[in-house]
Amino acid sequence: MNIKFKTPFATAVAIGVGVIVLAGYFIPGLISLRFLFLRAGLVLAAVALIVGILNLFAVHIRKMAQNDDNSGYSLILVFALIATLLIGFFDMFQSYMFGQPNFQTISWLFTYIQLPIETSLMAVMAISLTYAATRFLRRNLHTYAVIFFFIVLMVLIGTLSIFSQEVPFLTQIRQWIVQVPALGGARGLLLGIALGTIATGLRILIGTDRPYGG
Amino acid sequence: MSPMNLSDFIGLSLGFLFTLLVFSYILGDNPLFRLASHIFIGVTAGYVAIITINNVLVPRLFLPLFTGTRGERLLSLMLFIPSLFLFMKITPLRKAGNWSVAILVGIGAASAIGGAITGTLFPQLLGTINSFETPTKSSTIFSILNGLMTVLGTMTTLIYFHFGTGHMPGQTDRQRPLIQFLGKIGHFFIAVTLGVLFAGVYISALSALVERLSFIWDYLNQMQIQILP
Repeated sequence: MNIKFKTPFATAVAIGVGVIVLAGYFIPGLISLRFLFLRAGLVLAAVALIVGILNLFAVHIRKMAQNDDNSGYSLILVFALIATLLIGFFDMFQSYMFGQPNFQTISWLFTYIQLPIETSLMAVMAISLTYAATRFLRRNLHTYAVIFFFIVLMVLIGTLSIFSQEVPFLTQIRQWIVQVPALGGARGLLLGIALGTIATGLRILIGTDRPYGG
Repeated sequence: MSPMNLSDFIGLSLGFLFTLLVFSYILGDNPLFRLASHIFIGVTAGYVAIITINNVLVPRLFLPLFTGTRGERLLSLMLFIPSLFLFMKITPLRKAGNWSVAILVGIGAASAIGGAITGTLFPQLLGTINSFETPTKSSTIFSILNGLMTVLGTMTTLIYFHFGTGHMPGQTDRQRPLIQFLGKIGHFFIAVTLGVLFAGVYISALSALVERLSFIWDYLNQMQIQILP
């Protein structure tokens, strides 16, 4: 039998912490310990997010140095990131100095830059979905694809107010589809996802999977 | 036309510009869309960093060091050590940060198991069992049939993802005919569920499209630019 004990310390830490947190769900005496670890996990997740953003910054600085066709975009990304951080730190500094939350400038950035781009991306998705649906129908017209698009049409017609006001029966059909067959399928999918999550989590807690670089 | 200050004017103009840049994707991937997406990534990353620092790191890691009780100070100091090792992940000494990531993974895995059991598995099983809870006078044969159909949908959808095969001596391994049949019914329910989900996403996207077109229209009107005679 060939057992490799790679980075046993990290594995022991993951198993130990995981077992305590999991036990906290079922043993009342360990609930406070579970919350303590969850609080620590929240802080570490926040630090990991900052590390991820620093890594994004470093990757685009390297891309800028390569001086190829896309290096200009990296320069713009780095500039946008630094500008947002400076504005945010300025707002934070003001808030802590004067004791009143004042995040007007960063909120302005969110309202007038982030929100329009996010909504526009969502809007473009409507066109992309229509295009993808027509391509899919042209190439793969089998039984389940027909069922899929029939349901999509029925739900859309039943939801759009113009049709549903004229023909109330369409709304009832839509409600039945959503509340009966779709609910059954969704429950099956959710139960499958939950079982998969439990299996994957247990593989980590017994040390079979080591996604932390073990 | 309502009066607007310079800040609002610049903001609305930027919003209009970025909307047009993103809409240019309809013509295909192009430099204008890439410009907008890179600005978006930069601004979003910066915004998320500020929110994280202000809402999590300052009140839970830094402030307790100065204003917290003795226990809170100790906890913050103890959290500083794995936090510093996490920063090693972007240096050549990245293996030194493995144990910090292991803490996160351990907590995440245990929370995922606990959440899946208490938040999904039990509530969904109870919901499925309660599908038959209709023995009232007002309940009709349709409500019982609906309950049966929901349970059938749940069970056959789960069976669809069963890929086990029965072993027959001298024959290639294949799924049992009953499992295959039930899996096909499950496939039908999955198609229905995904159809409903697709329609939901499509309606949300359409709402966003209508909102953006309405914004463009309002902006042009405010700027007194007529695009229709």
